[in-house]
Order: sequence, then C-alpha cells, then structure tokens
Amino acid sequence: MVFDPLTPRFPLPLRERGRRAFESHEITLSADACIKCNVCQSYCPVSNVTDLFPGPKYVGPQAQRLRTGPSVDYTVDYCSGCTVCTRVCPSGVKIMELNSKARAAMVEARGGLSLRDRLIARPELLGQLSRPFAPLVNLMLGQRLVRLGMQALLRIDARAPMPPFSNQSFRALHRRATRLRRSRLQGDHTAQAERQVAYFYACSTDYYEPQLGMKVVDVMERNGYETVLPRQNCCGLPLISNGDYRSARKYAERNIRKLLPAARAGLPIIATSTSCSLTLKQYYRELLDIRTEEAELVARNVYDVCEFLRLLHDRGELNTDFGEVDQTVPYHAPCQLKSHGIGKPALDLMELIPGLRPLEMDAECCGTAGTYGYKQEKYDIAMKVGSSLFTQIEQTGSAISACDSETCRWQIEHGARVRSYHPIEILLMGYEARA
Amino acid sequence: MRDHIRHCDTIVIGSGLAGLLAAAALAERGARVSLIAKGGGYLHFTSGCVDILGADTAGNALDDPLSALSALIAGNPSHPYALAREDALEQSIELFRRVMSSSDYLFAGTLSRNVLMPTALGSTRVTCLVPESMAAGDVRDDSPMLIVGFRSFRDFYPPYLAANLRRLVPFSVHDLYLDLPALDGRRHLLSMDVARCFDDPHFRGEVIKRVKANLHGAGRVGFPAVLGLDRPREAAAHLQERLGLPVFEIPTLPPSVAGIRVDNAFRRWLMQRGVRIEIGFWIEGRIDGSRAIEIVVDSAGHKTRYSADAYVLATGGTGGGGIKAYPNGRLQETVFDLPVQGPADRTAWYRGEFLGREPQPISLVGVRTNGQLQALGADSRPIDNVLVAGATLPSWDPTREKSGEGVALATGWKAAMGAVALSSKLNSVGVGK
Amino acid sequence: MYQTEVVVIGGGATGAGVLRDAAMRGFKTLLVERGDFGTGTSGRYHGLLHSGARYAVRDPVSARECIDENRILRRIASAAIEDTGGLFVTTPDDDPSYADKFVVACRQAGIPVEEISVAEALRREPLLNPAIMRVFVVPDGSCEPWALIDANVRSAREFGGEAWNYHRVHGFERSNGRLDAVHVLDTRTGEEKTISCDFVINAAGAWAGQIAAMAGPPVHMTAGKGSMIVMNHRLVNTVLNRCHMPSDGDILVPVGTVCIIGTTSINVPDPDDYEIEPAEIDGMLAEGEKLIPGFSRTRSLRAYAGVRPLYSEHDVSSSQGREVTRAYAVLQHSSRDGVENFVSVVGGKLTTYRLMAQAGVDAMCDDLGVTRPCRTADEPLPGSENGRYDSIQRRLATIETRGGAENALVCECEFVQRTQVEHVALEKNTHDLNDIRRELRLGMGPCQGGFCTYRVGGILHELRHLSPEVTNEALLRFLNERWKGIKPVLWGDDLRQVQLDEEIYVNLLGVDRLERVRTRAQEPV
Repeated sequence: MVFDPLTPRFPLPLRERGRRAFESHEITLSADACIKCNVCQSYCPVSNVTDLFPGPKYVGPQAQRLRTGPSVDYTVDYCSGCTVCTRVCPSGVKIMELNSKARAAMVEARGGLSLRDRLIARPELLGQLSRPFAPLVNLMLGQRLVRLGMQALLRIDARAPMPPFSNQSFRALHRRATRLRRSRLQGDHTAQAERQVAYFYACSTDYYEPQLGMKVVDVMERNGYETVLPRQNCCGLPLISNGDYRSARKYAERNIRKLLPAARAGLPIIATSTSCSLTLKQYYRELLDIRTEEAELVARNVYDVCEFLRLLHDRGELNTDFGEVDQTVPYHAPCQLKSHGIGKPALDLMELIPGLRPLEMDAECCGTAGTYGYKQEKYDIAMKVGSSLFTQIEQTGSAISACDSETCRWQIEHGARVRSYHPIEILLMGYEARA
Repeated sequence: MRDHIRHCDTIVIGSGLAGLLAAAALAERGARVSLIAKGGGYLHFTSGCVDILGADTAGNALDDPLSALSALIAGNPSHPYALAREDALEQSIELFRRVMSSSDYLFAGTLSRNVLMPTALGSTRVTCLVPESMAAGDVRDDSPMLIVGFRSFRDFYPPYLAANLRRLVPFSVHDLYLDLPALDGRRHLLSMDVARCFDDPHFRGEVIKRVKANLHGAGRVGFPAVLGLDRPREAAAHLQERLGLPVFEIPTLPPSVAGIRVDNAFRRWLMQRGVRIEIGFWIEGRIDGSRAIEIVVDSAGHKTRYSADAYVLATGGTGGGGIKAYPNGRLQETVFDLPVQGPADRTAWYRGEFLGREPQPISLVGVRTNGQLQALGADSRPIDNVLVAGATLPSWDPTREKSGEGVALATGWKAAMGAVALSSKLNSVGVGK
Repeated sequence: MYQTEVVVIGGGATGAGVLRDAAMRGFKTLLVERGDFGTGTSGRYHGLLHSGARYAVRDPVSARECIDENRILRRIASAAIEDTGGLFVTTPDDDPSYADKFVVACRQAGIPVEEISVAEALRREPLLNPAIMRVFVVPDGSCEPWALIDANVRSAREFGGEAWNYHRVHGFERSNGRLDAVHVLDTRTGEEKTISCDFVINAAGAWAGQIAAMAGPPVHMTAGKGSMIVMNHRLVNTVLNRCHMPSDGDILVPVGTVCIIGTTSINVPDPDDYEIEPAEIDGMLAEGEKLIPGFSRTRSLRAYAGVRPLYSEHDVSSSQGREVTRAYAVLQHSSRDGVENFVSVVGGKLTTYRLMAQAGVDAMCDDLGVTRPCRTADEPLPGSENGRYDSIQRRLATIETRGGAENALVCECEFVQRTQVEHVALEKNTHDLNDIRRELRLGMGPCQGGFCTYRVGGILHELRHLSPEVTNEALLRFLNERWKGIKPVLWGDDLRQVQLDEEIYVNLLGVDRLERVRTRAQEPV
C-alpha cells in the first residue's frame, strides 16, 4: 500500500474537521518547513543592528520546538513585527506570526501588559482623552521636561516623534462636508447617482490627521465616489503587536460587527493606513483565529486606498486628469504594505502624474514598527534600523517624500527631516496642478 | 471587484539567479517586468562565485569550461546548456557583469579557464568567475598563505582549514586566530555581522595591526568571506594596501556574504529600472490549452490575479520549492502543475553514496521544455507563453557539475529572449536598447 | 591480564542496571560493551516509559511489572523521565468493546486508569482526532535512554564499578564447567585484553544468544525489528496510544523536541543487519493519521529501527514478534547447562530494566551462595536526587541568560552551546561526533547536522589535536549516519533540507574532493 496524503482515506466530515483543526494550527505547524537556512536572519532589520535580538530564526521556528509551555525566552520581545522574515522565507515558515504568538503567550502567562504597553497600545483611548484638551496636551508634549518625565515614569522615549493631536474630529469635518456636497448636488439634475466607498479612516486620521481624511474624500469625489464613514473602532493592531490578544479580540469582534453592513452591501472598504488594512485583511484570522464567515466577508472587501484606485485605473475608470508636477518623490513602501501582496500601487499611481519622479527607496523597514520605536529600550534600535532609509531620502535632495503608513511618515520626518505625505496627497497635488 | 485581473508585459516567477537575470534582461529591453516569488534569499546559500562547468560526468575537474561545453552538449542533448546555446551564456555573463559593476562589485576570470579555490574546510572547489576579492586565493599560484579567522566567529576554523589544505598544496599555509573587541562577547555572530564590521575602517585598522604582527612570511592573506557587505571593494583595497599583500576571501557556511552582495546588486539595479519585485506570496497559475492565462497571488484578504504576455518560470526545482516531492512518489510543479520528468517512486530518488560524486536522480528531475525553453504540457505540446529557466529544468545537477550559476544565467537569458519575442508591446515598438 | 569479580557483558539499560546493582551489593564489577553505551536496542527504542496499560489485556504479567517499575523509576531516575502522562484513545477504526476489557485489565494489574471526556482530551491535545469516542488517562512517561544508562554507569562507578565501551567480547577461557576469563578486543586501539573473573552476567540483549554460544550454552534469541519515525517537532505533549489490541504504528511518544511514532514488528535473522522498508513507513504514517488527522503532512524528520530481544525456550523465529511475551527471563546456566558461574538475563523491555537487573544479580548471588540485598530501587541515581526533570524548555530559558562567544550555539536546532560541546569532547575521550550527539543531542534537529557538523569538526580538531584526516573521517561518518536515518523519509521538507546540506558540504566546503586530496596529495586538480 502506498500512502497518498493527497487523497486521504477518511470520510469527508473527518477530513473537514481535521482541515479546520490544522488551519488554526497553520502557524505553529509552518515551523516544520524551516531548513535553518538563515535567510530570515540576514534580512531581519532588527537583528542586523542589535545583539539584543537573536534573530527571527532563533526566536521563531528554532525556539518553537522547545516551547512546551508558555514562552520563557524574553528576547522575542525585541521582534518588531515588521514581517520581513515571513516574506523572505523560502520555505513558507510564518516566522513573524510565530513570534507574535510566542509574545502573546508570554504576556498571557505574565498576566497582561505593563502599564506603559497598555497605554501605548490604545491610541484610540489616548486620542479620546486628549482631543478635548488638544492644544494643552500638544503644548505639554512639546516640552522637553514633560517628555523626560514620561520617559522616567513610563519608559516612553523622550526623543520619539509625537505628532500633535488635532482638536477637530475627522467624522465632524466629514459630516459638514457631506452636508454641503449633497446640497450642492441636489440642484444639479445632470449629476449621476454616485457610487460609494466605505472609508476605514483609523485612529491616526481621526485624532491626528483629519486633513488627510478630507483629501481622501476629495480624491474619491473626483473619481465619482461618495465616501461614507461606517461606524468603526481602532483595528487593535497595537494590542496585537504588544501581545495582548485577549483585548485585541474584543476590538476585532466589535469592528467586524460595525463594518459588516458595508461589506454586505458590497461597498469596497478603503483604508489609508496600510497597517490597519492588513490587520483587517489578515491578522484577525491568522493571529486572532477569528474565522467566522462575517470576518471573512469583511476581510475580502478591504482595500488599501491606492490598491483601489489602481484597480479603477486598470479598468479605465480612474480620473487621470493630472497637471504637471515637477518633483522628485522618494517613496518608502512600508513593511506592512509589502505584506499585503498587492505590489506597490502607490508607485503605479504616482507614475501617472506627468513630471513626477517617484523613486522607490531600497530599505526594508523605517524602524518605528508601530509602537515599537516609542519605547525607551527600543528607540535607538528603531533609529538604527531606519538610518539607511533616512540617508537614501536625504541623498535625493528632495524636500518631500511619500509613504502609506502614518507611523512611518512620522518616523521619516523625524529621522530624515523631510516632509512625508500619504500618496493620496501626492495624487491630489497632481489633480490640483490641473486647475 | 474581485474578478479583476491586472495585466503586465512579463512576469518572472522566482527570485534566484535565473529569475533575477531574466528580469534584468527584460528590463534592459524596455519590458514592464514584475518579479514575484514566494520567498527570497537563494543566493544566500551560494559561494558568490560563478560556476560555469567544473566537473565532467566522471567527477574529474575541468580546466576549460567553454571547450568542455561542447563535449557536455554532445553527450547530453537535453542539458540546459544545449537548449540555451553558447551565445546565451556569453550574453548573460556580460549582463551579469554590468549589473555587478553598477554596484562597484567586479568579477575576475574568463569563460575559458577554471580556477581552483580553497574552501572553508581546506579542500578545493572548481569555479570560473570569482569576485575580485577572492581571486588571489587560487591554489594554483604558489604564493604562501596565511589564513585568518576570528575566535568569536563560529563558522570558520583556520587551523582545520590549513591542516587540510597543507596536504594538497606545495606552498606553506599558516593559520591565525584574532581576538577583536568589536567581536568578542557577541553570541549570535553571523557572517553578515562580521562583514558589516569590515565596512568600518576603524575595525579594519584593528585587524591590520594584528595580522601584520603575525604574517609568517605569507605572500597572501586569506579571510572568511566577510570583507565588507556594502563596500567590499573599499574593504579589500584598504587591507591590501596596509598589509602590502594581496588578500582574498573564502566562502563559508550560509548566510553567504558574497552571495548577498550579488543579490543586493541585482535588487538595486532592478528597482532603479522600475521592475516591481514582490517577495513573499504563494502563486498558483492556470493554463488553458497551450497558454498560461493567469497567475493568482495569495495576497492578504483577497487574491490578486495577474495576466501577462509571457511568464518566466524560474522557481528553483526541488531545492527552491518549484517542484514538490510527495511521499507517494508524486513530483508536482508548484505553480502551473506542469508535468515533471522524473522517477515516480521515492525509493528511486536517491541512489548510492550520500555526498558522493554521482548526480542523484532527484537532482535531475524537472519540467521538460522544447528547444526554445517553452514548457511542455501534459500532451507534450509546448505552452507557448511559459518559459522555464534554472533548476526547474531537468537533466542537470548543479552540485556535481559545478555549473549552477552558469546554467541559471544562460537559461535566464534565453527565457527572457523568448519572453521578449512574445511581448506584444515590445514587438510593436521594436526591441529596444 | 585484568582481574575482577564480575564481568557484565552488554552496555544497554539491562547491563548498566546489572553493573550498578552488583556494584552496590559490593561486588567488584566490570562492564564491557562493544560499541558506545546504549547503542543496541536501548538506544533505538521508542522512548516510552510504559505504564503497562498496553500489555494489560494480553500480557498481564508484563503489565504489572511495568507499573511497579514505572513508579520506581520515576523516583530514582527523575532526571531522565518526563512526566508526559499517556492517553489511550478509541478511534473510529478501533473495536469499541476493547475499551471496557482494557479498563478491567488495567485495574487488575494495578495500573491507575481514568476515563476523561473527549472535549477534555482535545483541550489537552488540540491536534488529537476530534472523532475519537473514548479517552483514558494512564501514567505513561517518556524516557531518555542515554541519560538513564549514563546515570547507572556513574552510580556504579561511585561504588567501585567500572565500564569499558568499545570493547568487544570475542571469547571465553573455560575449564571444568566454569568461565575463567573473558577475552575482549579494544576496537579503538586494536589491543587484546583478557579479564579474569569469578562470574559472568550476560546482558547482551538481542546479541545474548551470540555471547552465550561463545560460552557454550544455547540461548535462542529472535531479533524482532521495530521501525520508528521521528517527527520534526512535538505534535503532542502526552503519549498517545490506540485503545486496541497492540499493533503497528499505534503509539506516538513525545521525546525532547520531537515525537516518535511506532512501531512495526518483523523478525530478522541478524540483529546487525536490517533495513527499513518503505511499506513500514507508509503504514505508520497511515496509522498516525488515525490519531492526528493531517499527521502525514507534518514533517517526518528521520526514521530508525531497533531489534527487540525476543526470547523463547522454543524456536519462535517464524512467529510474529508480538506473540512472544515481552516478559523477561533469567537463565541460570548452572542448573540449565552446567556452567556454574554464568547467568543470562534476556527479553524484557527498557521500562523493566532495573527489575531484570535485580533478578539477574539475585540469580548470581544464589549461584554464589551469598545473600546481599538489592538497593537499586531505594537510592536515586546521580542527577535525580532532587526528583526534578529539566525540560527542553529549561534549555531555552538558560540560554537566554548566558552571553559571550563561548556560549554561542554550535547546534542551533537543539540549542547546544560551544562550552557544552568542548566539555563533552574532552570528558568522554572520544573522536566520534556521535558520542557527542548522544550526550547533547547534537545534530538531531531539523537540519540533521547541516550546520553543526562543520563547526564541531573545527572545534574537535583543535581541542583534541586531531589530524585533519581523522577529523574529516569523523565529520563524514557523522553526516552519513544522519543520512541513513533521513533516507527512508526523503520527501518534502526533508528533501529540501538534504539538498541544502549537500549544497553546503559538496559545493561550498568541497567534501567530494577530500578523498582526492588523500590519494593525489601533490596534484591539486
């Protein structure tokens, strides 16, 4: 008898149960494929700059074989979760995911996150508390003494870039703008019924960059789409990255419920933060093990905003009425954009603008990795990781740069001292150049 | 939305040397190339040299690879070199050199002369083109050697190397261990970490000081292949100048710094020319009749579909994951599920001695093609727009023949030319550059 | 000429147990073993510390012996035994009526058995087949044979015992119905040695018949080959057994960083010459699927086989291995065959080694007409005094806290540090990487020596001042031994691993040109 695993001899229900059981273990089982080749170690931006992190192979598939209980190897905490390792692994080991799960097990065994990590992992909460007092909070965060105090008490590095809170909420701005637009269109009988997109604007747009959100609305409008804002909450990625899966699951379940109507209505759910959209597309399922039909439906309908616009372009539906913009734009593709597996849609779009010279930077990671670079014990590592990117950007001599992730933009502005825009903002420059 | 297919000119599947060279050749001709692979880093396991043809079928070392090629092709008409033809090899080597020199990384050697390099074990390996930083190590020269290693670097043992090498060569071989503050006390030292230290002139100064005091009448000084990651030329030049002697590198356990330099040079060159490189996603392709109609990338959330005028399948055979071997003997080509030539019985895959000189049957499996490197489908008819390059081709064993890089480059080139011929855009505009 | 009171032949678990027992009873004892300790059946077994439940229904005597010894070993050999616990599960492929017989038989044999719900079992072992019907908990454990044997030898040394590895017995000096001396060959040096002694205990396991024949008495041993597959990682943390009449591939044992499925049962004529058949591999993978759906899709790391030392007074070589009792036998050749000072201890299994050893030494005391009580069950073995077991997890935790290049990992897969390798290389006085492997698990992880072999070669060469040829030999021998285990499971990830390892050793390091080096020394090409 020759055993053939491709056509197992067992009845379908058993195979199905086995398949499902296996799927939820797909990450730990992927460690089997490791042939110890060290490719992940060569690429890891963190272990390449510090000895505090033994490297992805070490804390991932290698240590995994010895973990018969909760993690005891604390060095896994130095993994920044940038996902380069998973992508370059020639064997298909889900290394970053293994590390993430090991960290979550460690946190669970310890009884939860430290105070600092609990705060840092809740940007939505921090935003809600700070927005009513935004001017005062911003003033204080700009004071060195206050930052030094935070560093001493909470180990949040005094040098880490903290962008100012906005005192206007994006939702409020959007409401006003929608009212105005609708009243404008009411009188215009030739206006076509608009298609709609749902916008997952994320904590960063609502609390820090509402203007970015308005630009998204503008660009969508120029392409014949009305932007609606479904109810939503923080995607929970900071909680996942810090290892608090329990709280992250609550955020995830609430978010899925809130986004479900849009998904069911067949609206594309666009997002401007490539980290948040990756969390919705993939991490709810892979890391938090949420495999319900509703979750899958939402995930299938999420698009990075540039991914969506490029799709329109492929179908000949994109508004390409750009004016000339004579500008070199160094572009950094965030790690968590690369993990989408959609190529570099921002580059594809920026190349459509006459005169614009987008230049892809050759760097794996800017270093900040979400909340990682804010921590006192990791700030220097983050800056070393990003140094090659900062140097490359500076060498272009350009005054501006582009990047799809907000924390990366803040890190680039901090490290390269060059203004950084979301690619949507660059597109808008192109549209406005026509006028 | 989800039924949407993106279109591009050519898609290269695979990020090893064959895929990188194919993408470079296509980009040079003005094609819009996407290079997609499920993973990367194959070059991290290589020596960083270019093996063309190092051994004959009996395992004897060859002196002149170019002239040995004709004997090889005559004896094995299905060999990839037979399909690629000589001009492909020469053209691809020229392109390879162009790409390398754009990163200031030069190779020494000619296609008509093999060289004999020392290995980290103190044995020898036959290769053809070597980075300049390795050239002075050729054991056919009789200049005495000093082999230098680092106590904290666990992947290189000068005394063991020297002891073995001495049995082989007429010249004297001395060995030396260095202790260096920048390396001592570091536990997870990989070759790349040491190489980064060598990018630092201050570190090099410390090395030079210690080596100079212990030259033992050496005519040349050998190191593990760690002489600089980003600026290897500067590192080697500095050492040579201050020691007053030629220096050379010896490849050792992965990660191969020399291989990484090649990988980095290709990546930079391709990115500068707008080639989209996407690493990290499983790919499935669909064939309809005599054409591949699309590939589907396992992207997050929802899959992304691509179609192209031509696809170059450079997926690395069994070692690279392009062909998967199942316990029931099934050999599956992992992208298009093309038929694989090879024994369908797992007990026939490996015969005789492990690490011996004979090619193993499993190393010879692959996807059959016609003379134009077009893949042959289930009915042995060609799939017009799928061109195969590198280890996914059958009938050759890179490890025994010492031909890995040469075949990857030559077939990568040939496949790229085939893809150019298929590209509607390039053919209406005319083949550029 | 060497002199001692008792010579023990065989350095497996039984022999080491006899050595310890005899030494503790005050006999001057010397053990001789033809290879390294634990390279016979003991080193090639499944890794299971039996609760005895497996034998309860068909072989209740063995079952009771197992549970009694299980308790004792947990006490005296805690450092070598992981308390994994065991589950007996009734799958859809098993006769459901066996379960009740099983419970009754376990209780009768004194084996603690408790039924738990399927849901509870799945909580403990998430990969377990969700379609199982009943689950029973028993006190199985997993055991590291080399640690166990090593501890017995060390203990014996504390009582004046001695043990020589790499000494092969090739004959006896006999006179008047006595064995006067044992002739051995030191296979390392080629030196012949003669050991004169008062008594000989034959604990040579599957080779006991060959030894006995040299001394005169016929002892009929049958070698029952059993093959096992080592899976790349611990799919389970508990021993999993099928609740049915014992058959092939029905046990999965977690041992250290791996888990091992086994076994098969095919009698072979020569305990030193056997192969693993593809059908055995396929069969075990299929059986594994019944315990864990998708089992065969996880990575098989390597396969190995050992031979059970089956004894029967009658020739049973043609029967199925499992029909012969696994109980042990002590043969007093004085009454049986007229050789006054010769006892053979045969059969049995590793779990009952101490009991077998006790019975063997008791028989010797009987022949000698002395009364010296056995204390092996009372005193813990060296390293087990505090009753603790150092899990592999501990190895991971320890490494975290140690810095410095000397603590660099030489074998990364199994977290073996440089200082450990150096210590063992010097202490054991050996040229062989396999000896280091048995002590430290060098090369036993996924890469199967791919990276560590070269490193250890370099370290050994310098530390032991070896010639390069000897070092090269040791390196190649190690890689080839790893290869022999990989070959039967060469597909999928293991195939890619081998191709990477070949790329390293042939292409990068040039091992294929080393031989050429030795035969054509002056000509480089």
